[in-house]
Amino acid sequence: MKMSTYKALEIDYKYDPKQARRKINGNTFVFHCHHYATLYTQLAIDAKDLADGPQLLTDAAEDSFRAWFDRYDADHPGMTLEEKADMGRQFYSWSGLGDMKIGCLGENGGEVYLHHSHLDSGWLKKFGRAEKPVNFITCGFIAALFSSLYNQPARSYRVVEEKSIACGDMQSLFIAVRV
Amino acid sequence: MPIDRKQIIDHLCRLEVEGNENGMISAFGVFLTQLPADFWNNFAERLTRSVRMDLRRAAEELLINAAHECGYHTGQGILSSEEWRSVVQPFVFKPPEDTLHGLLAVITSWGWAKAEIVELIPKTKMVVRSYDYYEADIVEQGRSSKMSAYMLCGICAAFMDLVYGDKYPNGIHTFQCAQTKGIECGDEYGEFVAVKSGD
Repeated sequence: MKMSTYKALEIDYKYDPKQARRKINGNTFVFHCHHYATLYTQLAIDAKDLADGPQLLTDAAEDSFRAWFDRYDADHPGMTLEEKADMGRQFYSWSGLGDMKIGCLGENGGEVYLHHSHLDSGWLKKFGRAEKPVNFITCGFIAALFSSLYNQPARSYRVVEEKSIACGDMQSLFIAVRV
Repeated sequence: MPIDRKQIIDHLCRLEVEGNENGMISAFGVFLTQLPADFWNNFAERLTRSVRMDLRRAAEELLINAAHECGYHTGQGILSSEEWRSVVQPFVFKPPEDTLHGLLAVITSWGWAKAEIVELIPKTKMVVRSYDYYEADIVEQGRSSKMSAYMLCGICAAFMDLVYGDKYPNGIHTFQCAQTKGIECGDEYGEFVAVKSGD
């Protein structure tokens, strides 16, 4: 077992040879590349006639990241709202999803910016400029972060990507609204 | 001398990465993320169970294709990497077959699957068994009626493309893969059979 710290984020990585699993704080984590993330996103868009693909992808992300936030919270009791928000931002960065800045937040919603983004950079590299925002994974991440910060159930926040690096904007902007 | 899987896995499983100052992980010629496995499982499972039964296969093919492209490009990045040259290449005595064994050892160290090749007919067929893989986690109790290791299917085909297909990047989709057993379906292991496309 090896302990490492990404700024203020406590990361405990170990490899379980019996299962061949990479465990981060006891949870199974996997590497995937931008081809995978962008093709999953493209698949979600293409599947709109079969199912609400973008919403499925957003919800899948929200549920997964919410579970992570809740476990981290349980393992680190007593964190302030600021510390929890910073943990979420740092986890986003540690995981390779990009560079997130929280413009503002409150129980009714907030504004979140990306200056760098795995999904958007990958999209531009693979497909070129997008016509519409495509970062449904980050919408789910932010929904999870806000609901976790304010101890609300899943789907308590709707997150809309108003500006998008993949569409040519200098930075991405996400607006979270309590529903 | 056969490839030393244990030594390769023991070395590469120590690999720890984290986002740089921009929150990006650039390695093996691609951008990487390290995310909870259940995120990927959540989407694949919800998508394939949301669509009408007659459209499920189409959705599954798209998931497999995402993994196929991922495996092809990332696999090429692995083969071109310093880690491959220093850790795996010394065990590759009989290319290209040993290359395939090495790639399976690498993905085992990455936590994708505890997988090994059990049958290999050069240029024709590869059978992979996986004794643990994260895609099987979708079933916590009982047995699923559908096999769900879309990622592993795509990866196996992609690795055959890299080794026996035309030179990168023109060899993709030379091979296809089918899952024939699944832990999620109650089998002891997952089994994946890659053959030439159209066979």
